[in-house]
Amino acid sequence: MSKDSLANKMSRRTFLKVSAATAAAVAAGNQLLGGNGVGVLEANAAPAAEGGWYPGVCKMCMQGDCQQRVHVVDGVVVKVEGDPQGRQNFGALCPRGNASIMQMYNPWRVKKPLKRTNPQKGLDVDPGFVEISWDEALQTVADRLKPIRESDPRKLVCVSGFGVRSALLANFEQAFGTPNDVPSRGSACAYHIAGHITHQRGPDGVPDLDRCNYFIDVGHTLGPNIANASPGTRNVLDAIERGCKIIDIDPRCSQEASKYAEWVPIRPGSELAFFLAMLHTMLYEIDKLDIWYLKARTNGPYLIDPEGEFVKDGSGKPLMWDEEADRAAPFDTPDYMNCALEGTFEVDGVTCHPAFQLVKDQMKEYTPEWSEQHTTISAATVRRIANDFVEHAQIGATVDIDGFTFPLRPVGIVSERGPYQHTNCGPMQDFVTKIICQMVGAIEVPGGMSGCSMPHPDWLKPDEEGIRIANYEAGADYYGYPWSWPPNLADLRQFYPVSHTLVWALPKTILEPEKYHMDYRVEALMSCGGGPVRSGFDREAFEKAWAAVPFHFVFALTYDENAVLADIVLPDSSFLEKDTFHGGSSAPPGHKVMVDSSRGLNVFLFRDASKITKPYDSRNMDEVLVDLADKLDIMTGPDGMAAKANNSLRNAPLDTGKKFTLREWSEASLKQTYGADKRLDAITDASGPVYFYSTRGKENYNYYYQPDNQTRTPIYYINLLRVANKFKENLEAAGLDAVPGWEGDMDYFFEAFTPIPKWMTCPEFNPPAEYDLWAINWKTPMAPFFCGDTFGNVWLHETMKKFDPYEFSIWINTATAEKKGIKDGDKVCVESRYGKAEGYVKVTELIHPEVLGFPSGHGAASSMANPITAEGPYFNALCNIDEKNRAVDPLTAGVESGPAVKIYKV
Amino acid sequence: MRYGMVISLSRCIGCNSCSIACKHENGTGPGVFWRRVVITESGKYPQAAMHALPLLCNHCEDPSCAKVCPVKATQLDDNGMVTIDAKKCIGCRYCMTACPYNVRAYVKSNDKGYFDEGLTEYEKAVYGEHKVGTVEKCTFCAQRVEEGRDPACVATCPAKALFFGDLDDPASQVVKLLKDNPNAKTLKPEAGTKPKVFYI
Amino acid sequence: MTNSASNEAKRSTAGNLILPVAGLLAVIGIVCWVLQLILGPTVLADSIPWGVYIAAFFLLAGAGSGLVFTAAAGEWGLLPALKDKRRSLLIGAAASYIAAGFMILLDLGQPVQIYNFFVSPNFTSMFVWDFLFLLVTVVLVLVCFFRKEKSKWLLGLTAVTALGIVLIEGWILAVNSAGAWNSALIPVVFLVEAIVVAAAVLLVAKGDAFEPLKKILIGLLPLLLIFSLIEMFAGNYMGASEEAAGTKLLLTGSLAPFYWGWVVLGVALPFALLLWKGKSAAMVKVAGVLAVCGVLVAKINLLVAGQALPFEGEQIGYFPSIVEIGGLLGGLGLAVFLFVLGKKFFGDTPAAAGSAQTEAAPAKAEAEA
Repeated sequence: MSKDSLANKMSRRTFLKVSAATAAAVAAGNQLLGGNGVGVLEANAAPAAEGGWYPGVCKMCMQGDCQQRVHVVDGVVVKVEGDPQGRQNFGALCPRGNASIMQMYNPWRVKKPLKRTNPQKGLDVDPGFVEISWDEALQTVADRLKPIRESDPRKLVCVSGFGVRSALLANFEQAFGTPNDVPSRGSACAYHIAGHITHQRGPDGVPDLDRCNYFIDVGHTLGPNIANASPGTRNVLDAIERGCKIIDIDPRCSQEASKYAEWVPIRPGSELAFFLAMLHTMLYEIDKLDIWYLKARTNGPYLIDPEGEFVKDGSGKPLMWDEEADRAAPFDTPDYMNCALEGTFEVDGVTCHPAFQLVKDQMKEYTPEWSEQHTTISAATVRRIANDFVEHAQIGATVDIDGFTFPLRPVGIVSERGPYQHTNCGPMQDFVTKIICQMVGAIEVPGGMSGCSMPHPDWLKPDEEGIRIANYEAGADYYGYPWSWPPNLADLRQFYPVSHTLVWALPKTILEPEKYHMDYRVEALMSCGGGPVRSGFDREAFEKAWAAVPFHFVFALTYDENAVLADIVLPDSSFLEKDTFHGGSSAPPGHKVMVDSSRGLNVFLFRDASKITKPYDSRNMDEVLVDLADKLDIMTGPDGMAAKANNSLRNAPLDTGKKFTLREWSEASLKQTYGADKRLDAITDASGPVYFYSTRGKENYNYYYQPDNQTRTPIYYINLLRVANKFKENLEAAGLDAVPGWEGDMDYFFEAFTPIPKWMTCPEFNPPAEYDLWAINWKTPMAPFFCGDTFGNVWLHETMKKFDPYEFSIWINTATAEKKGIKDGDKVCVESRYGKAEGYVKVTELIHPEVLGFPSGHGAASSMANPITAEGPYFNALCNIDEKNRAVDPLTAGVESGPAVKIYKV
Repeated sequence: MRYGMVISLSRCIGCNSCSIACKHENGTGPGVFWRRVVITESGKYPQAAMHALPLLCNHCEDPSCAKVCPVKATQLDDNGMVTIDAKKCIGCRYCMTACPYNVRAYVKSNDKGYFDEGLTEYEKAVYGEHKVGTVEKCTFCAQRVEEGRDPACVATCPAKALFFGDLDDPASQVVKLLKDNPNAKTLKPEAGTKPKVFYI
Repeated sequence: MTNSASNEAKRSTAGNLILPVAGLLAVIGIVCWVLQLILGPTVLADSIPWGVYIAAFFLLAGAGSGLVFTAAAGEWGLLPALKDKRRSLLIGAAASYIAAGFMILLDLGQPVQIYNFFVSPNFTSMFVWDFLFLLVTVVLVLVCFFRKEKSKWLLGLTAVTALGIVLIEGWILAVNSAGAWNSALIPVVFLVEAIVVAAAVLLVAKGDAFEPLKKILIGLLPLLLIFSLIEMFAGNYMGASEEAAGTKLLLTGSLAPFYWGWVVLGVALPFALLLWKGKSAAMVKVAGVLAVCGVLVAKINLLVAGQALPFEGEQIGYFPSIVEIGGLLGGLGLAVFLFVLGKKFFGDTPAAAGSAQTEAAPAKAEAEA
């Protein structure tokens, strides 16, 4: 991305510092209360800081951008609340944000730096920790890392997690020289690829909830189940009040889905069949498509040769077939509306078809009746939903925003974590949702689907073939992640070139580097946040691998599995007690939705935490990394950590000749993003955060930057074909028949690398007969994931235990329970081909009869954690990470999370 | 002036954020919740649905708790709030049994925290405000309302499902909401307590 | 009776043990109270505001009133056999009331603030009326006891205020909105239970001696069961969900062992024992003990059933804590201890010499009430 243009754009704008007076003006523009009309912002307006209130940003989850106010009395944090002026949360905090006090004041935290005395490592082995000083701890780490860096810096692998991930981690890694930054997150939510290729700069695909009238929500939450203080929750409720119809397609019904127009339960892993049939219905039965969009803005008219490649003219431009002129024409012809979407043509002796024709042909067999056997959703329902979707799309409608005329297509589909976490059919079904949206032109226009990142002129920018440049995980050059041989990275990204994250690869490359053709071994591990041992789908493999690494140091809030397996434990501060810098957002505040009020919103704040007394001897990880870099002699000089930090601080670089402070770095970041005249001193506790919008109104739609036929999105996914072809070449050049672990199964490996979606199944879809059910897992409002010490938080635990009978249980449908002789509250064992999980049953009507539901990520803890952490059934034990079982998706590297299971009483 | 609350059940997502916000706003100890959200389901698959019902003191117009209190510790104040005077309460808990909504809490201790190893700094700072052996409950966050702020639950609600205001003020949002929703319900109307917490 | 001599001997051995055992229990109760005062009410069982303390309070206050009724019935010639037991009965009534007061003290979270009863009494509260009636009745009992002139009118008046106690305590629950309590029958049930307890206590004290009391028990025990059935039928007939849930809790839910235990051991068994022709004096006493325990359990069941289902599908469990059980035993022990002690000093034959010591008991009673 081009950071400069974004920064310049911002600096041209006036800063908007919110006071009670301006808050009222903002409230007029917010849609919070729908028809009820009165702005919450106005009602709650209060000075940012008075008597012991300090600003902050909540870091209890991956979203991590809810504005918080912290009340401090005699050094003790006694209250937290959403900043009433914060326009992503309007004073709201989710249950986790509210429970953050118990994260900070928690005697189960690591209270002092620790050194292991027992050389034997294991989850059930007492590490024999002894307390040491910070100085000794950092010196020990530096002494161990120095020789490693001298021999091969790649031998250090840094594993990071949400919530506590340090802002400076990347700079430290760069200065150290290791490319091995492996996020522990993502194996269970690798759902970005189709969007990243098609239209969005993600990470998420989001509906335009200000205008959308019909939305299909698949295995996903629009807000209430994750980071629910951010705008999604309020805006989805506003949209429903406004009359937006939302259809929930999911094996289980949630609070959120209960407010939707309809819950349509589906068999896990069959979502692809549903969407193929929906697309079939649109193409063969309804036949009401946005022809203009398809011709002007997709690669639908591009002629495809028998090899699957574009037919091109001499200058390399892909060709379309101009039916008026009866000849091929380059994609950028002004007569694009004359170009054929259907037919068979011949160009220079090559028989070819428009991509649209090929897609349509492929869909022919996928009738609603065909899909019914796979999905358990009736053919009539498929037809009804397809019809409603097309009707609501209002093909041909336009809307004027700030004097600019946009197409208006108020429909959308988001298919996310639930359906995605299946090998091959997972990502494939999302490609179909993208095609469906394009058939009615609902991409990056008002009412339709967008990426959740701030809008930008680059996001839809076309390449020389006229098609929008894929980004992020999809790779910009059609080849995905650059190939290197022997593999450069310990997480095997070379073998999964368009993947999301691959922490599951680490145990394999640590334990068997030769098998994966590595020419070095992992000798040191640095963990900060995340919990791959518990969340990585193979507890034993991670335990073994972590124990096998010669030196492991962790930044730990509590005694999690990482800490128990470490050599040196560095107590990390709770975010409540840290100096807090927050500048802009990695993604805009609306992570799950786009609405005008939060789409282009930026915020900057700095909290000096000196007035907050730390309850334990912990330190801010950012500061510790600076100290560590200093001890390793990688702080100064042209390749030092300061210089690396300067790569993103070009407008206000740090002095590369000395160690920098967090305050200096924050100041530089402020100047870089918000203008060189800005001073950190001016952003005091009393002044509160600074807000401004980088885009508003028409600028919030990426269509605005490339209107009409100025760019195209793919309905024919040539990227996947090209990535696969290039990858096959690379494998061959390296003398490999197969990706390690996939020997003899490479046809399946490449099955989803197809330009046109087709029916395919995941390894759990046709299991041996004894596994007659499927287990699924989802995020819950109080416990969406591990980060922030969710499961060890006594307030969250108590609230879930007391008030949510659905939380610590295994859901089973009433009819299924009766058939199996299982009663509410019975203790059961659920067993997959890979593992077992025990728990207590909740008999409910809220789940598909073929499915067992496991809410949240309960049920695993280290031996030194608060025992409450271990309560509840442990879903991940039912999954695995073995390539031989097709357990990881070749495209996204997501882990198959819909295991076929059986259930019995114990 | 009569303070009251309107709760939009069509907006409540059952996340219990209000329950936890209440905990730190009022510094309540282990096991004590001045408000909670009851989670239930209804209907048969696939026409089933999940429901959430936030429960708190209804600050009733005709509070049964005040009626049964032998020492006038619980009273209906002029501003419509039902309050408890800890200096009068003898801890007989008659009010707890009389409350149809089970939203009162008995202070059993103020020196027992969540952790075996004693009170944390936070717990030391806040638990002392609670008088052992007396009954407590939701105060509509009187300390916040005095400053012109909404109760903590209202302010923190991620769904903006809670609304607080003066039921006597025709310009207040709660009055408008009740006007727009003539079918607003109160809990257990048969108890005759005339709650000032309305559900729409 | 050939073995009456040995019975007499046994009785006196047992009698000798009663005072120390009851005294020990009373001491345990006081220790529990002190524990509560030091540790705070943390030691009380969670969640159910009213538990065994209140059940025991109702039981003891009922017993006191029942004993006043029997004394009055003797005086008025309704139960001639009791005519000469007037003093014992009044001692028993006073002991029961005092012990009832002790149970309330145990129950209060802030006993120090009890002066608010006088400073700011709330006359819409049944508790205030209960307190007043208890106070007046205890005073009347003591007046009846110490007045030289026996007045059947005064005792009659005492019986009326004693009746007031029972009815008001029934109303404490009956005016409440909790499903299982909201019934006009409860004061009647409390009245019957008061008489049952008094009759049963007298049977335990005197064995076979009072034939009419057996008849009263035989008549009233089934009535309690019938009341219970009426409540359940009325509650469920219209499908009122709260009552239905409460009934389910009693019949098949977590309270089922206690409900069915009461039916079998607290009603059916004593009823059968009393009806049985071959019964011994000991069996009559067993029947009496069972009936008293039955009433206590019935009161606990009633209390818990009314509180265990707070709201829409929520359910709260209850089991008394060790300290609560200690306090309960203490209260019952205190009643027995005071009675035995009282009888020793002021038995049925008035001891003129004892007048010096008489001051202590009533003073204490008043203070504690």
